[in-house]
Amino acid sequence: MKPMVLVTLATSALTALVVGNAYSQKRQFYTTLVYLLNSNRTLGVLYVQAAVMLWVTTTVVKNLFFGTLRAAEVEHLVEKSWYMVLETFILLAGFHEDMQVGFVTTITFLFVIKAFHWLIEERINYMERSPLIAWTFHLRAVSILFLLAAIDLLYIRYSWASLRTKGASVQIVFGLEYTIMLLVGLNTFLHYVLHSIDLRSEDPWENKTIYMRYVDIGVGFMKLCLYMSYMLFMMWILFIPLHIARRIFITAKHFQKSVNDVLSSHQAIRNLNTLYPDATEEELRAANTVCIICREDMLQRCKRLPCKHIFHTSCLRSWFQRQQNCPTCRMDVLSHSASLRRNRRLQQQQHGPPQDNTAQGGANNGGEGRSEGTMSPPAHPHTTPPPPPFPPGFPAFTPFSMPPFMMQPPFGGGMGGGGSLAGLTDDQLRSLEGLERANVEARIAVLRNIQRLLDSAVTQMVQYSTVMTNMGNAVLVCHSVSSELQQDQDFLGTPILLPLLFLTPDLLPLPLHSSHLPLPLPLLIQPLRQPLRLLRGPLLKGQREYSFTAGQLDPQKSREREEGEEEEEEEREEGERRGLFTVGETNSSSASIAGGEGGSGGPGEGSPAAVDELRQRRLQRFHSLPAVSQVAAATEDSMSSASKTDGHGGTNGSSTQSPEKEQ
Amino acid sequence: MAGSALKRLLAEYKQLTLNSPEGIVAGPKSEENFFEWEALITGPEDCAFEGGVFVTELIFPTDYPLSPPKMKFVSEVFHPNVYPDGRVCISILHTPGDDPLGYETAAERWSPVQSIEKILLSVVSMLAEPNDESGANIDACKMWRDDRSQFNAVAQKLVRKSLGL
Repeated sequence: MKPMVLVTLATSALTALVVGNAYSQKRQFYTTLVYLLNSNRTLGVLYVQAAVMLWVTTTVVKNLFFGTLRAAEVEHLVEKSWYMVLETFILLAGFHEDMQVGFVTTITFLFVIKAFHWLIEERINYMERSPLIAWTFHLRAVSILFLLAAIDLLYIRYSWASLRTKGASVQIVFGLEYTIMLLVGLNTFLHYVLHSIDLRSEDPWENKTIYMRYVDIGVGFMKLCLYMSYMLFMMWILFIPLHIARRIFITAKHFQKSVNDVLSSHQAIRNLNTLYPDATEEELRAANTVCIICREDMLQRCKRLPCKHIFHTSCLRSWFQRQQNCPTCRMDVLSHSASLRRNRRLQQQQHGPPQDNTAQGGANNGGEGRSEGTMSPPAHPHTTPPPPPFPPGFPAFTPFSMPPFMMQPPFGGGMGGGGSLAGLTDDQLRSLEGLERANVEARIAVLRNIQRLLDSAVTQMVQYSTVMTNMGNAVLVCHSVSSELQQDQDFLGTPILLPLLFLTPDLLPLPLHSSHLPLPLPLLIQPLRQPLRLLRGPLLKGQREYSFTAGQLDPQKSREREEGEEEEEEEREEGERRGLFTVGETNSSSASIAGGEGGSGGPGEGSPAAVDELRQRRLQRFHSLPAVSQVAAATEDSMSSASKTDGHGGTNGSSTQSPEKEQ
Repeated sequence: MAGSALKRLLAEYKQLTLNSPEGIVAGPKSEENFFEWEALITGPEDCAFEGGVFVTELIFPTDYPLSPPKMKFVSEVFHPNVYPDGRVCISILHTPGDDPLGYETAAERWSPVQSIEKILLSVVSMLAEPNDESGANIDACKMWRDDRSQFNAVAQKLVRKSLGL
């Protein structure tokens, strides 16, 4: 701190000296001003003074709103600043004719404002970690958030006006920056609100994480839209905005992650609600009454897993979002419940409808019975022809051809619109009861079918996003995810699901395959993947965080692969690590993995020579990166060359996949 | 009250303070941030690190105990399972998705059943019995396997250094 004070004093003294000297010579305000602005030396002094003033203001604001920064905060600030500097240089390459004093000032100011946004974001996240939140914290956080929002809004208005009056200029860039910062501020504020609500209540607020994710999704989506439209706009009028490429990538990745999280948490909740029974009082008393996840007493709202371990519902839910096994004994609950389901189905097939009736009779008792009832899905239309327990007038029961509007009271005609029951004999009443029961059962069955449709849609979505995450490893991961669906192959073959399946040909357990489709999925998503991969190459080189590494792949799944493919896989990983991941490699190796699982794997043709060649070419391009125009040219170039390899990989993939289809 | 992660950390802190295992002292660095801990580990008897007191640092994620903490030796340690920068490489600190050295089974990975105490005890036993099959520090690994007396000498030097001698 001391040296800064000295520097401030020194520059102030110097400025005073220079200004005083000029004024003593000229004796008039305007002449003094002209003199000061025309001499390089005085101008230099004034710039230094301005920089020092900015520093002092920043320090004061920082001390006022943030106090002392923690080590982690400083570290993150420095890290982000380097990216900002890098992006500024890329930006300068495009706007070098605007490179004037005003421009530098604006960028510096932008940097300061941005740094404050980062700091407040960090601070709000810190709320979750600290047990002691003083009232000054709230005061500071809210006031700085509003201050920053006001500055953002003012600048957005200014740059909008400039865009309308003067046309496209560097102000668009600043307008975007401030709009993004406004969104970040909004995100931070919403997080702050959620944390504050959480702090007020005594018990942990279970749904907070879900709300946080929704906030993330909303803001992430807005950011993504903004970036995309900005990029298109810039490409249209000026040049490819490389300076935001890294951030677009990160935003997209973050957005995808939040969507994934929400989907997986929904699935976890659904599993919890349908598959596992609530723990009874006796069980709670008998067990060690501390939940192993949160280390707190289990008094209510607990679930029992098939392995007899008991946990809080909320704790289990958050754990299942990450892994589907028992925290204590690591039993894979999903496969267990799947086998349970299969067993039940077998039983149903042997015993026919009476078994079904008992399962549903339990449904009326609620509690455990209910979840048991939902645990056993109805027998398949193809495997067991449904008995006709329905009254005439009720349409023949076929689960998937029955639209929801059939759910009206089915015995409307027979009962004469629900007339009085007084005139009926006991026998008649009993038979009516029987009818009623059959109707209720039919309805439950239909509802279940609808639920299964929805579930499978969710699974498809999860698979789809898994594909997006693991790109190259898509087939591998999806095969295991869809193993559950595989049991229901006949179910999948029903016409209602067909449109859904068209979306994800790679994920099919095989009844449908790419040759049946107008366009295979890899080709459909290729245009999306291509730009991302190109960016990942030069910009994110050496950034482990943003490149796909082996760590994202579940080791168990990777072990399922055949030995012979490991070499190829390693080679591909090496390519990924260097940020030189190419599409041809991905397709060939994933295709060969798929082939391997199908038992007829032909070795992929991603020959090392071709890969090396491509790598060399990319490297050369990367080294010849002095100006943006060149980079842009190279990008287009490599895009076309990569699309060639694409075509190659695509045909390769389909050729290796076709024998699998024939099986 | 704040999140469940904080609650659990408070619970573990309380438990560790009430009956801490022998040779281990652990607690948050400051009362304001319960997600950064400092732990002192004594080198177990009958091993190269006997008598040393090593300072370690534990950084917890916000979703603890669903994700494992990161652990790092602040004191200098020369050990096959400690990276040269101090990061500890033991299987219970890894989630099933992340296996830097590719040899661990899912059963030895992180799960919410684990606790700070168990982590620290594992580190103590790791000090006594290095696992040279999965070297984080290749030099230490090699020396441990080929030249045990030199390894012991280096370890003893570091023990003295850790005690400020």
